Amino acid sequence: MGSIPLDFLRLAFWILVVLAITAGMLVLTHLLGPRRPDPTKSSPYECGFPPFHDARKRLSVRFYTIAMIFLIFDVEVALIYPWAVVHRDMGTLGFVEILIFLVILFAGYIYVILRRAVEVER
Amino acid sequence: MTILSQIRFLIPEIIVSAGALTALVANALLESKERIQTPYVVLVSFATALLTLVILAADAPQKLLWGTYMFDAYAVYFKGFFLVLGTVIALLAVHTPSISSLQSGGEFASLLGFSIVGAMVAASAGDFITMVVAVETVSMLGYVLAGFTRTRLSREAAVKYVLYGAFSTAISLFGISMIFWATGQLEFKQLSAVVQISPYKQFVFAGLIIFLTGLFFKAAAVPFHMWSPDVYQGSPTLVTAYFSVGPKAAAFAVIGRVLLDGFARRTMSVDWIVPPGIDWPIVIAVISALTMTVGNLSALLQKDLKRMLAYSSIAHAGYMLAGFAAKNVIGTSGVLYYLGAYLLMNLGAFFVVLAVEETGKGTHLDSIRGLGWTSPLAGATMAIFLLSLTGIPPFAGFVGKLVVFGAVVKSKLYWLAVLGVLNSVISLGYYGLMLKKIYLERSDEQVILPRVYSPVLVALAALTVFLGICFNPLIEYTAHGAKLLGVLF
Repeated sequence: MGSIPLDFLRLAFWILVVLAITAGMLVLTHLLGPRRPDPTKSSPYECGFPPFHDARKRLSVRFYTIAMIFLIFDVEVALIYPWAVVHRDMGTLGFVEILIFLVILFAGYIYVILRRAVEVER
Repeated sequence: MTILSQIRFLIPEIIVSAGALTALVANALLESKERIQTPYVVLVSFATALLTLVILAADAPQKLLWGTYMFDAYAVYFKGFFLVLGTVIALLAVHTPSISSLQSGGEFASLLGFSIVGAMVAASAGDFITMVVAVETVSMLGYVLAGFTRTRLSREAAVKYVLYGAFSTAISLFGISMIFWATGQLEFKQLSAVVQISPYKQFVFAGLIIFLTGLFFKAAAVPFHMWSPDVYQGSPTLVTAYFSVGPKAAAFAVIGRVLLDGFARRTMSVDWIVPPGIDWPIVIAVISALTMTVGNLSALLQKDLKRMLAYSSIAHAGYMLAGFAAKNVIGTSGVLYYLGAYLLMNLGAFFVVLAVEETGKGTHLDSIRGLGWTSPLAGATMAIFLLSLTGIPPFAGFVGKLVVFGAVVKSKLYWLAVLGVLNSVISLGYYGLMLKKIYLERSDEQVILPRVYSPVLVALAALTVFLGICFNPLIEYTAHGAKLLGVLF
């Protein structure tokens, strides 16, 4: 195909260079690097607490609802920030729009509360 | 035109959203005994939206919100289609014991309402971003609806649907990014002009095919149909009835608009002109041929009614795609008409299966044995739906097939038309098998239809017959809708 744009050749070249540098670093440190292990260095966290219990702990399965609800309301805030920045330019219409948006989310909030989705203890 | 005067054309969507939202909150507020009445809120919102849609349709066509939203006859037809579909499903949700006896049964209708809003927006989407958001809304709510009854099969269906759905959306988005890279356009109407002069036609074509692959997943076209029999079988039957029509029609609305608005031009001639180097009609024709053949041949082997109807709906997607491959106005209006006929006959067939399932007989092929004698009404209407699905006059399915295959012949795709007719004969094999079970075999068990089922079935059957005899007004409207695609205004 004669019409591959120059950009793609540059990209391919860049990918090759990246691969070469990464592979070179890994191979060279493996070959040339000195290795003097001691017990502190070999522990999983050299500068931190020694692990005091197993990482595979049981968590309440109900956390997933809270995580999902958090995600939804987090996205809500993410939309309100940019609106707050430009709210002078958007005028009354923008204000009404964001109010409608909040009303819809508030309906969801009421639903979440009434269906007791955020209560961990039952 | 100011924003406020443009929002007028969004009133049907706003009404349905408000209805669904009210139903959702009401569900949480009410006692569980009263909850099952909340679908009526959604039902009323569907009816009101339909009324406003009819009033607003007089002002079509309109290009709204900087070209992201098209309010033309094509969109109006699909919106009306989805609202009718929503009304029927919501009505049955209240009267189907397996849904309404659930503790969260009332929430069914609000989920359905949001899904219908997504489908309505998809019918109007004028650019890729609006389209993806709308189609995703339909899919997301579909995932929840598939797992609605929380039985083992229902959960399995939901998980399968989520995985396939997410995968297909990712593929679609990748295709869109390629098209955007090569053209710098997301708006369909502008795209058709840019594509003509784009130096990167191969990339546009590759992007289009990748994008269509994602949509073929949603429309359950072969070879991307593997999920649909499992999901259709596992989901609650009422939801299956919705899946076989709603998300599929939304995918078709989008496929039609993207191909005919974005990748073809139409001036005075009857046919769309495809930009050179982007020969999508042949792709659609091959997929259509594969879909109808594989769908019909697989349906012959099924022993479960829901699975059989799932494969039958795959085959029907194939027939409808043939209308787009013809790339003329008759073909496209044929697709729209076919979808209307398909709504009536396919919903009807699924509702009869649902009614039988509600009596505790399951969905095995033998469960409808002797239905024509144990429940004459269900048997007779089922016979009408099955004959119409086969494409036998004087039912609506026949007219749909006639128009679509007529358009295919007109665009000189003779092999596709022959294949389509042969497939209709194959489909008689399994539709006939069901008819044989209904009328030629006997059963002593009594089947009592749940309330509301009889009038709904009679209405659907009557409309199937009516559209098979008096088809002109609807065909003219769909042709009117198809004509504006690919035209700049």
